Amino acid sequence: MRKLPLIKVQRGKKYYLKMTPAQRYQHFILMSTFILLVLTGFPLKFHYYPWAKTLINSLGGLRVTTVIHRICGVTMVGLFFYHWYYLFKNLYVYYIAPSIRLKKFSIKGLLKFIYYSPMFPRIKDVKDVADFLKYVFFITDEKPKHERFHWREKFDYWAVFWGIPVLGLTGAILWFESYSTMFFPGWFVNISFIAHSDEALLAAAVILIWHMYNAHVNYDKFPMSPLFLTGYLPEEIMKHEYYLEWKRINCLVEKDKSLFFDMDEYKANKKKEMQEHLLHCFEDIIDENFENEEKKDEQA
Amino acid sequence: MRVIAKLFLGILLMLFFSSVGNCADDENCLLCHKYRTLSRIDETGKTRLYYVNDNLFHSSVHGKIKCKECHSQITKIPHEENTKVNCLNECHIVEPTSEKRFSHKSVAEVMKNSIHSPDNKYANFSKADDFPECIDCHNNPLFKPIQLFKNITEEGQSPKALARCNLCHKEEKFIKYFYNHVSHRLHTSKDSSEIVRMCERCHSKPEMVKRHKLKNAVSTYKDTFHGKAITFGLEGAPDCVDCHVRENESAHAIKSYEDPESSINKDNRKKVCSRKTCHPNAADGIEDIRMHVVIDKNLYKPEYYTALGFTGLTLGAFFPLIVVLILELIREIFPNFSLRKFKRRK
Repeated sequence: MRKLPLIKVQRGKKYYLKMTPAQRYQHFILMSTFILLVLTGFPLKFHYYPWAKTLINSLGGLRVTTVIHRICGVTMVGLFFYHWYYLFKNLYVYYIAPSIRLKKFSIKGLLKFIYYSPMFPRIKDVKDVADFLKYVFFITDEKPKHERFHWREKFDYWAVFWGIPVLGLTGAILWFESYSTMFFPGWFVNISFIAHSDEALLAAAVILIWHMYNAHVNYDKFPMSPLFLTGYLPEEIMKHEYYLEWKRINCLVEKDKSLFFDMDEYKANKKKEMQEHLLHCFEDIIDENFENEEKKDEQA
Repeated sequence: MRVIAKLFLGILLMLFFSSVGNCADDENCLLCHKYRTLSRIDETGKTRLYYVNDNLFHSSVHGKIKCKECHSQITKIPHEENTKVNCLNECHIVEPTSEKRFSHKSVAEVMKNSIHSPDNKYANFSKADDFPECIDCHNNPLFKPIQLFKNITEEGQSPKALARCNLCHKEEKFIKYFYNHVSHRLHTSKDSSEIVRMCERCHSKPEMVKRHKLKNAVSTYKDTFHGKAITFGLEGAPDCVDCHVRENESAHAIKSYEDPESSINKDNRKKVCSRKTCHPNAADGIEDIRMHVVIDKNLYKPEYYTALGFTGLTLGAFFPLIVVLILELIREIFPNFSLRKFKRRK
């Protein structure tokens, strides 16, 4: 994979890398399947409202929406398994392989690596929540300084992490109702039905209100944060919300200049090169014309 | 004076004979009942419409039967109170296999053994008023206000089907009559959503549900995938009758689930679920899936605790998040106001 610069300068503004392309693609699949699942699932949960029928009909009727729902469900569960692979791959690439090479591998080190991986909840998060409460209750005017992901994002992540297996399992039981009764008692199908729709409601509520507010509608990101599209966050938000991460990236970039990429400078250079190139071509053409005219004169 | 009386009689006779040509109305009921606004408001405040749409009536199942065959109590004009139809009357039609006068008594016999009869031993409440009569389910659309006829989807004839009959049978009245009496019974005359609506008329009345010690069966059914499929117009999804009636039996014979002969008795349920068109691969446990789940601690324990757990989880997870969100917004309104800063200033 191409190595991306940690800081990118564009139109005089600094942008900080927060999501790698792999993470962005995963988020994109999760997002699109989630939206389609909500669109095709919620009319069934709220079947007694008039909009439910309109929505189902606009998506092509019940026969089509059930197929869409199942395709998206399978894709989302597939993504869940891919994410496990992704986690173990990173564990291998960034800890197991280097530590074995350096003959420093230990279980304690492995656990420590997992504990300090970006999404893992740790004591710092509890402190951040406490600091946050101090801030919102007007005790201090200092905001907690967050690392790469703060506790709200970790909350979203772990909600999805437990939500997908619950929804996937109960969904599969409802999908294969005849076979599931081979292994489970009948009431298990009934509780799957309740669990599937209630968990979906919780997930949709959290994503549509809490996550959308934090990620996009928030006062300093409105109307939309570019993070999920570009993977980069503008400096003011980075400094404001992820102070420690901002400091860490600055430190890293100071040590290794290859992590810094000035788009403006690159563009200006390109432009200059282009102009020079054109000028050369132009000179050649003029020269050629000049020679041709000279030849004509000689012939005359 | 005598001249006026003669003239009046003459007009009356003219009116009488002018409508004799219409064979089923030789009692001349349509003389009055053809008026679309013929109606009154009864003691309960309900508007009763007495209009009969001649065209619709003559192409209906009962188009060849005289009014008085069913409205037998009517003897004079204006009619007495309570001239209800008695469907068990023998009407003038001759049943072709036995050559006896036809009546619906055999249907009544079947009904008597069903749960829809007050005499059934499985009924929890046996006051006759609460039990359905013929017209509670077989609502004849003939007496409905005119605007309802515009898109009748419940009953009636398909002109497409009639067109086939027209090919050989020449008498149009006969075709319509015969089609209604015989052919329309070859396919279900009510679609699934109409059947659900029909059952709902009684089974979702709160006071009735309470008296008969039933849970609201229709709303719980509508919450299942079966009910939702029908709500969203999936043809072929099972309605009430599909499960509650034994295969090859009339819908008049619906029995209590406690009755060993019932299709939904514990021993017979699997047979219903694993019909060819439903869940043919069904495993043994399929009959234990509950179709009328109510969130009730005593009836359905696992369902109750699951729903309770998830409600708790939803409220317990979602509301703190909203509170955090609101607190943060409030804090942003007063960015410079805080206790520690005050201390620092001092």
